[in-house]
Amino acid sequence: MTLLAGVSVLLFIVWLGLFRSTIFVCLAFLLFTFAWRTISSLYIDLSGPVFSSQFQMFLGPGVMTVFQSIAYFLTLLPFLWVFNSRALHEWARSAPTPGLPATQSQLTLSDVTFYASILFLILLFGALIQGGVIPLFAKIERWTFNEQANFLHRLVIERGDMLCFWWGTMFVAERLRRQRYDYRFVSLLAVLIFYMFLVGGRFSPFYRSCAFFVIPFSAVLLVQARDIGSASLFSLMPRIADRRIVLAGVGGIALTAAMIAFALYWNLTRVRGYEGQAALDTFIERVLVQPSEIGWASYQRVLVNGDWDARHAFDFLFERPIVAGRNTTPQFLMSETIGEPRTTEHVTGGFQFAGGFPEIFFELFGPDFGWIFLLGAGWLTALLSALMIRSIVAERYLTAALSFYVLYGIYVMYIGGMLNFVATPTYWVKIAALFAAIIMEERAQRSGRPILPWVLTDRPLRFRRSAV
Amino acid sequence: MELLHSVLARLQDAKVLLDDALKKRKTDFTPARPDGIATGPAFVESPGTSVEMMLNVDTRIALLAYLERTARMTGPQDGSSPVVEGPREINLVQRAILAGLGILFFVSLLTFFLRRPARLG
Repeated sequence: MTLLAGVSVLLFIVWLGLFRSTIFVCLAFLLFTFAWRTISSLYIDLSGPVFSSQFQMFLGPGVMTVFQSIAYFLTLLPFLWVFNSRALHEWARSAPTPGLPATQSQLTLSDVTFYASILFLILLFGALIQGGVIPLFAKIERWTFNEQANFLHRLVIERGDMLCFWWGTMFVAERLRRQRYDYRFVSLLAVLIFYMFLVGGRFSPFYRSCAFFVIPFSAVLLVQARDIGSASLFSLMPRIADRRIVLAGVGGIALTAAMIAFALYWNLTRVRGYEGQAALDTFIERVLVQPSEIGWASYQRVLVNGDWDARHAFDFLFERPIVAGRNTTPQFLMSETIGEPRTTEHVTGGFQFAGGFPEIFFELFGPDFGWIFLLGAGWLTALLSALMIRSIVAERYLTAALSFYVLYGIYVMYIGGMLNFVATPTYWVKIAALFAAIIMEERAQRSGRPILPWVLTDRPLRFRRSAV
Repeated sequence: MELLHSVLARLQDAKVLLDDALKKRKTDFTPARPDGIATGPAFVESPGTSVEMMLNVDTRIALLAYLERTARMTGPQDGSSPVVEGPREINLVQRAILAGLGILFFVSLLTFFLRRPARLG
């Protein structure tokens, strides 16, 4: 049963990749995590008991994968409904008519993004060099560096995902408008990834940056599938892939994979000081046990033993967590599993365990009602994703950016189980701003004066005017 | 809060100890817990972590001071630990219904906007 459930999720993800490419790319960030956690829970359930050094106890065997797989299906099913072929065809009709490449005289939105990004990256590397400490060479952990980093580095940590999404959007806009790939944005991404490598990134920053850059590409797939009536990868490949983009893609993936492998090796052996078999064991535990260990303990507690206290969970998550300014879900799950003193020590030291979704839904809403809220959250995510992709196709960039901003909170929920983001007033300001943007951009586009137009200025025209 | 205070105080003591040791160029000191038990073997077991801990006493003090301020602002005002007390009286059913209605309202609004033609005019 466990094996069947886990393999079903993995096969479903492969099926999405082959036959529902638009959804697959749009969900790139989440699907990778879902696949990874499914493999991890399969490992604990099937090969348990396995030792967890963080819990100081043995985990597994069990049936966690079954519950987790159903939760993942409930999350993904609304996407099939929202991204149905009729809706996709309707959205694709709003794509801009492809034209000629921008003339030298035009200054486009992507040009401004590129120049501003170049300036930002120069300042970022300048600040890193001027700071005198490069974590990769100084052999220090990334969070240690983050604590004492400059303003620009903190901006990358806090808003880097948004930046990568915007670069991806501009990359896609150029493709939809001019039928060409704008390699300037691929280069920007490569430079940022190299920066992450220097400041001690191991895997997560690379994965996040690449995933958020790729997500807008879903709009290209959607438009390309318009005339052929199929969104399968096989029929789309000849339309989207030329020799240069394939080479750039393969090269980029190979280079990033090499960087990740080196970063992991360097971190485990040189920064943390593990040697030989100990380094390998730590790596295996990080990859196969830690992503699902906190979830496994929670499933045992709530779904197997029926031991849950919604009042206590609510109180901890929203009213009285250990540290209020952060994701309170791991704090709660850690506290329930390893006890409050150890949790406080870890959390105040800036460290917390991985995981949190979907187990927090069962801790909060119980073994029965948790499923309903999971489906509701999945529905919301699917609609917000659809709004984001449709806005990119229809060149409503402000709506697309704000949709991503609102969606980002939900992404964090799917990765780390965070729920307290909905209790912050700023999140509701973002939601209000999104709906305001939807209405304003719709009106502005109707009147022919888009809020974020593609062509910002036409220089010769401006010069002529000033001459007159 | 009490734990935060104690960790902060221990870190500040450790900083003074480290500063003294560095000034005297003394490198063979053994770190000890407040109860006097030496924690030396930790250096051998996990040298990377220990060196990292030593190097960042300053930043950890700053972080803890920040956490203390945050906890003071957001935590319970009566000085008690946020975890050991029993949960407050909250109408959970009402909150769950509100959350469900909120999701439904949000879903309806998004569906409404998605059903409108993508490019008008």
